[in-house]
Amino acid sequence: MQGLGLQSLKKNPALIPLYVCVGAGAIGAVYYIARLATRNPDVTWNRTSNPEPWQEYKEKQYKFYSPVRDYSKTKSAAPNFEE
Amino acid sequence: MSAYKLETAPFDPRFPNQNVTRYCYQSYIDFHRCQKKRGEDFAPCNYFQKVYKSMCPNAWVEKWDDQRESGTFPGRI
Repeated sequence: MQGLGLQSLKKNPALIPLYVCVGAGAIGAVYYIARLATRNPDVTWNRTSNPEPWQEYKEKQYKFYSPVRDYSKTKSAAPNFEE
Repeated sequence: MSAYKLETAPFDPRFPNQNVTRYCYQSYIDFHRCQKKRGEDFAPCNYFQKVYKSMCPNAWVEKWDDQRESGTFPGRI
């Protein structure tokens, strides 16, 4: 099919924006899924070594954009009774 | 007439979303872990009780209390 190889792409340069948009969408989807898999406070890959993955967000921000509150100034109010 | 001070559980960055189920469950578990570790009279444990009483539906709290009493509570305390 035309447009799938580099030579035919040079003959049909109008296809390049299509590649750019689809590529950006695919990269965005893969990035977001990878972020969810590795950073989401509800996801753990090893239940014995990381049983409560949300605990590492006691002072950290997970959301991309937080207009309401400044996470660098908020801390979890829960007292630490483990020690 | 005494003034009532109305307040609820504070914001916790570990649970930033609208669904506070995990906040409820974690506070319930933390309260009982705290009591088990530090004893029933340790005052800072009451923070967790205040949170789970605000966040958890009463039916859940009663169910979990019954489960704890009968030894069938599924969480780790």
